[in-house]
Amino acid sequence: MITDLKKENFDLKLRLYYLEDMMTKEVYQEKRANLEHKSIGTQTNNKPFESTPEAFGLASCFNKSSQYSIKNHSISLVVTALENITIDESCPSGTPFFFFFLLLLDKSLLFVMARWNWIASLLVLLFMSVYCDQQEKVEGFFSQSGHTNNWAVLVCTSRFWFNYRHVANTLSMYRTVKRLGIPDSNIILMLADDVSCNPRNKYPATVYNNANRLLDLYGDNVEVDYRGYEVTVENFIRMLTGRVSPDTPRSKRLLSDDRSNILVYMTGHGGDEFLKFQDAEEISAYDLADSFKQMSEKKRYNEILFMIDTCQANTMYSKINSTNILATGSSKLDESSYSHHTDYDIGVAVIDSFTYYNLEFLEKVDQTSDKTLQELFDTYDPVKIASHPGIRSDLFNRPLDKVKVTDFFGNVQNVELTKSRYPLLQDDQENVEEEEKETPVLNNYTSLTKPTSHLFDSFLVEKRSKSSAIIGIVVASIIGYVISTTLS
Amino acid sequence: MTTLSKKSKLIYATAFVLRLAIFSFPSVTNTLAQRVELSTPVTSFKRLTEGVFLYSSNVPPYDGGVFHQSPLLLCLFSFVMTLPSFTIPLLFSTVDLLIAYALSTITQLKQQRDKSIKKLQVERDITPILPSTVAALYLFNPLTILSCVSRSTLLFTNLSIVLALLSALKGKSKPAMFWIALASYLSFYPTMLLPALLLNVYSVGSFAGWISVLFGFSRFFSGSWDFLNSTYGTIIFVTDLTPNVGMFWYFFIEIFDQFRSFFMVVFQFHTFIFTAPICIKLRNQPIFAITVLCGVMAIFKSYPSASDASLYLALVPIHDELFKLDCRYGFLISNLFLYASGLAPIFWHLWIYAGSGNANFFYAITLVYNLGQILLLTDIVYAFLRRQFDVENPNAIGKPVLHK
Repeated sequence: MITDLKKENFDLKLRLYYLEDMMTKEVYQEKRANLEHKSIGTQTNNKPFESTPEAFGLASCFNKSSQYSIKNHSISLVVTALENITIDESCPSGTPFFFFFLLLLDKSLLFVMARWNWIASLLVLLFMSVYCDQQEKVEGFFSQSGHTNNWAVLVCTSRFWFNYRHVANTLSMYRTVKRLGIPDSNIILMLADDVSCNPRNKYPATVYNNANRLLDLYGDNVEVDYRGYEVTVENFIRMLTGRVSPDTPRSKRLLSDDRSNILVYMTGHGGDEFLKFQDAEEISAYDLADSFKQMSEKKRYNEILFMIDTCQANTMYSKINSTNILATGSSKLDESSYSHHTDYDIGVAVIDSFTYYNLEFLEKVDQTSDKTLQELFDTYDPVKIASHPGIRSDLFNRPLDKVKVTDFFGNVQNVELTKSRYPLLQDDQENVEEEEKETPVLNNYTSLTKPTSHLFDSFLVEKRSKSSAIIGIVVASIIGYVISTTLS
Repeated sequence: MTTLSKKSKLIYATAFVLRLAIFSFPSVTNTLAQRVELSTPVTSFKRLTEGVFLYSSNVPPYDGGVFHQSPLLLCLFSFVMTLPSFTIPLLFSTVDLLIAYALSTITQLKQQRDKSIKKLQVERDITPILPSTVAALYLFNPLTILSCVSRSTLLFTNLSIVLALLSALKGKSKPAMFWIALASYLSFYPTMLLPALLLNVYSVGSFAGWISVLFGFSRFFSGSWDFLNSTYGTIIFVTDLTPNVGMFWYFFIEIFDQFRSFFMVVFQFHTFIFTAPICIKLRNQPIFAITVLCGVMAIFKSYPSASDASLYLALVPIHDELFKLDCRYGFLISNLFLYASGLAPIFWHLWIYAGSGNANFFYAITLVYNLGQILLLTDIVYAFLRRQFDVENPNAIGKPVLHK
């Protein structure tokens, strides 16, 4: 049964709903009127239609809270139909052929195993009847979160030796994310300072996040994309929004698409709705919100997990207003975030408390685990962390106990294979010989599918009828007979 | 139809179980199906699966240039693949057992014939090889096991050849012609075995009849005459230059285009020309002729594989009287086979995966392998002819023969 499409396939339904509404002109003009009062970041008011949300069939996020009722019955029909589709493949049609074939085989083996024949064939038949009849069900046509690739943007914004722990935080997240499968090509690592080669580092060319120094984070395989003075607010926002100069190398670009889940992790020194970059400039919560808004409009992400470990971190995500963003911060307003412990040999703190407890959970996760974000967030203990971590999930559409940790921290692909073709159009319903319940709603569906049916012509391959199997049986039986006469 | 002795039942059962046991490791079978020594473009199981899928999706299977096997196999396997998935291991193991049984029957028939033929003095007291030993040598030959587990479709050609030989020895002309027609239809080269069989059962007409029936069925099944170009066209014109254990691919990669057709004619002609002298000289011993011709086929075919070798290596022990006396190069040949079998995968790995070798490595070891096979062929032919001479002239045994 394809279950929970109602809950999971938000995207398709959203598009369908708003596509319908786009067709009515007055609604469209009403939204156009709304837009002129806003200035979004550096965009001008005269933006072309293609960059408006309406071009993508989505309403602007700043709209009034008007409910768009379903005006066309057919949309609701589609939605209900998509919820009720089953694909099951049983092999009862193959079974009689196989029995016949086996009997045939018995005939030619007759002379070989004279006495064993019937016993052997009975055993094989029994074995087969147990083995046969495998119903294959498709568990969710669309992957649970709808993403096909993962990106990670890991930013350390602090300079100077005593901010060693921020570099260690970022490198720890880098290591976790790499371990769970995200390749370097999909990770943007921004480190504002190079503490491993700092003259004050007692253990040069290493970065540790623990006083026991068992794991060198700066070990074999670290690719830093933005380093030193390249970590600026402008570069960060340009990278997020994709508005980079043409000569930017590929490793410095965030080449995500609308099926990418992005983990954005930032750490450094921050305050009430700002984060300090390099001791010289700040990024504000509004800038961040605008960047995410641009990403949302440009369809550069499917879902974002924004994690920030600074003082008063929760204020940083308070201004975000785009959908499908989950945010978590280390401390609330007027509260500082603390480091976890100091390594007295190196002389500075080596890890922050919030990141430390996150890592404690993440170290038990591997690529195959099903742990959810809810479990991660449940381990947040304000007493241990010494600050109150916050979670903002109002913009996020999936329930947190259904979101896997590897949806953001890892690169686990969701591939579902089906043996038979998934029927996309009503025409398919007639061609495919399946025992679905024929929902009558689909008969009214043709009006909506006719204009787009030409797009699916390449998928309209008919399966060959059963006649070829009959020819196969006949040929096999002839050959079996000739074998037996030859060998006898 | 003779009942089997306990020993042969044990042999068959063990071989069957062994093959099924190896089939139960899908990683092994998949790796072997990709090995270039075992699967060629015209016998690969993966290509067969692709062709069956294309056919069942109403796409012409011969359009894409990936599927080069005959429509009869397409028909059979499009039926077999609708069955549960363990049918295929059963099918391939059963075909192997059938070949083994046919070989043992051929051995019995040969030994019955040989009772009435002159023999050497020393051979009178030696018991000839047991038929079950011949079957065991076929079934437990590592090349056979590997080719069965890699699901190479050449197994069906081998079955057809062996059954053709069996029918010809029994004197049944129609089944013999049917089987040789099927073998020639499935892969092109068994046509060269036809004259040797015709020495026993003369009915060219029925051969032509069966071939036309098969072609007609193929035309009906695949809907057009495209299959000719894809199956026989590939075999004859060597259009797919995937490396294999044969001689053709390397040569045809490096020659200039303007000489390509000349060399193609030369190579194919060279392969078929062996029929004539062998059938003339060995006209009274059809089994031996077929053995030698199978060997020639395995070496000089356009897409040989280890499955071809397994067939004639199974036919060779039938003539066990040759080994007792006159084989000169036994040690060398067995070493060449072992050496080539060991080094071929290594050089393939070095060439393709490690990148530190090149095609010459692999081709060189292929040449060593073919050298071993050729030495085997020449050795048994020498042994045969020497034995013939010794039987006719008993006073010449052990002495070198000088011709004036």
